[in-house]
Amino acid sequence: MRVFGSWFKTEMRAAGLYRADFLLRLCYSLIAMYGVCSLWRALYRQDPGLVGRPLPAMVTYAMLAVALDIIFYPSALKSAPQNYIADQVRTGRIDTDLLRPRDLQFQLLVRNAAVALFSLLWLVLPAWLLGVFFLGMELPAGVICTAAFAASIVLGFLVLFSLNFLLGLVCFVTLDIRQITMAYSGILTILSGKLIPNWLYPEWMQAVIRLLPFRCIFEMPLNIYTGVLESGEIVRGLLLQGFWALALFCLGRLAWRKVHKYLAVQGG
Amino acid sequence: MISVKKLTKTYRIARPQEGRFAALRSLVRPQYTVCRAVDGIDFDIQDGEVVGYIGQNGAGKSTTIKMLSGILVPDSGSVEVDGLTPHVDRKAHLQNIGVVFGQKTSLWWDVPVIDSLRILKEMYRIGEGQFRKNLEMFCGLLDLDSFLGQPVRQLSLGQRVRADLAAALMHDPQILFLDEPTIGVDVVAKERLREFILEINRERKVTVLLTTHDMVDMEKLVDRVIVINAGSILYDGGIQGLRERYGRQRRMELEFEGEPPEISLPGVQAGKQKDGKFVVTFAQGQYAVDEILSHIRQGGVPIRDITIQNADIEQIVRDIYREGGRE
Ligand SMILES: Nc1ncnc2c1ncn2[C@@H]1O[C@H](COP(=O)(O)OP(=O)(O)OP(=O)(O)O)[C@@H](O)[C@H]1O
Ligand SMILES: [Mg+2]
Repeated sequence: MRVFGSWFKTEMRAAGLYRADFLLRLCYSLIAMYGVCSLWRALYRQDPGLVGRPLPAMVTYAMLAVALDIIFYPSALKSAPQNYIADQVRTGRIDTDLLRPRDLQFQLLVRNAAVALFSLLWLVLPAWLLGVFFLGMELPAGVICTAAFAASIVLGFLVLFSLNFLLGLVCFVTLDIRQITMAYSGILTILSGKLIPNWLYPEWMQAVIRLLPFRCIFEMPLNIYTGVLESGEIVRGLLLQGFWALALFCLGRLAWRKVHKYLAVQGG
Repeated sequence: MISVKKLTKTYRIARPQEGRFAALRSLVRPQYTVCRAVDGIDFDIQDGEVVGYIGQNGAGKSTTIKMLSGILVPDSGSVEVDGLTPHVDRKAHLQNIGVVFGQKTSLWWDVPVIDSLRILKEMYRIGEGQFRKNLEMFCGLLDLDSFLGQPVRQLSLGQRVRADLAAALMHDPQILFLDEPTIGVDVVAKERLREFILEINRERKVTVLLTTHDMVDMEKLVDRVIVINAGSILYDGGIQGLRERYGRQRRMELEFEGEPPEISLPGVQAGKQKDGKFVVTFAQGQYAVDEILSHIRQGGVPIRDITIQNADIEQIVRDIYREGGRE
């Protein structure tokens, strides 16, 4: 991994080239955080037992979801694999990516991870700090919780990356993924626990959600952070995330091999 | 050493269907038109050669380059580059070659050129010493210094191609494929690119295969020409041989003391050009120069000046393309 240090660093530096965008993004996130914070406060005034969690924990959950959205929204980053692939395919530059002696999936992972880390440091962290100081966000419940949360974010990112990569592969075949992307974003918004906590859904829907990978992206890290999980549940949650990350990553690899062969034979 | 045998590549293009449920039917059972882009070509290229690969638009040049670089899998036939089969030993092969597509950059769009080069350094596992040495050399030869810190999207076309060339050579490949490297580049910049390619070929013994539509590239760069037409090779050999084999047209420029006379010999074209020159072209074997001249003298208008040339390479290539190789 050390070998790729400078590759990673360069990609990170490139991410910082759009300062003005960054500031706007941060403002937007803060406004959205303030918005969800007010919304939940208003709901709790109506019925404090509504959600089954204390207000500060719920507000923290909702605001942290908005902050994480900066890197976890499926197409938030220009470097997200499906956006990158769509761009390269449209302009015909994808040939040049295939001329590298590295696997496409790996190239995209380095690029996407670098930009995500950059955004994490310069956007999510400030948003989180401002949330803690001005909007009443809670701190994570202890050192172990914090460490588990960090691990959970990394795994959540890998799950999202792998799903995005699979979506990107569709682009090679259909050339246009805008419609599918819209549906995909919608599903993620509803099922990942980012907007509506999954435990508020009816039982049958929760059962479906438990079978899908989407909750690994938002719900897991958020639950760990807010300290509603026992340590056994945390471990199980991380394992589940790890399972999905690995499974989807490998699926992406296999699918890419197929698509690559198809491309090389069909000529794009 | 590159060795290509009976190489073919066919593209299948989905044909739009008509009638009811056309969209659905084209999903369920798509119909294809077949386009044979490369149709059984053979050639060998020795180490250190500079070979020009020319042909009309759509002749199959880029398709060949893509098969040679391992992006495309041939339908049949074989490709071997330094003992490797490009599409099978992909990664090892890609470490050995450099590729530049003149129309599209392979550099990071938003990233300063130098950073793109650094990323490539990691990707190709280039050592620090080698990287430094190459960077210095290419900066000198290609004048990269002035824009090394700028992102690619801010570069002019000529600068971009220079940066791409440097990028393709950072990992010291022994083989360079250039697909229209001089497209859209001004004459001065073209000259510099040519000098650079020659320098690299001389100093590092890099084998170069380049496609171009610029005949000056041909004359100044290339030891050998391969002409491809509709997927098949028409000619493979030196430029001189191309002249001898196809250069049958001769060209005579005349100035007269008065109105130019009518010339009515079968097979001879004559007429005034835009710049006022009177030009006569005729086939080498059909007429001797003297026959043409005595025919003109019959018109009675005194000749003030006369030059006679062999057809230039552009004319020859035009003839080849037009006839599609019929001799
Ligand atoms: N991806 C593709 N799908 C279908 N047909 C293709 C594809 N790429 C090329 N072709 C067809 O294959 C033929 C050869 O194309 P190719 O790009 O190799 O030509 P070329 O010699 O490079 O031409 P040019 O001088 O215009 O670059 C053309 O008829 C073209 O229409
Ligand atoms: Mg071409």
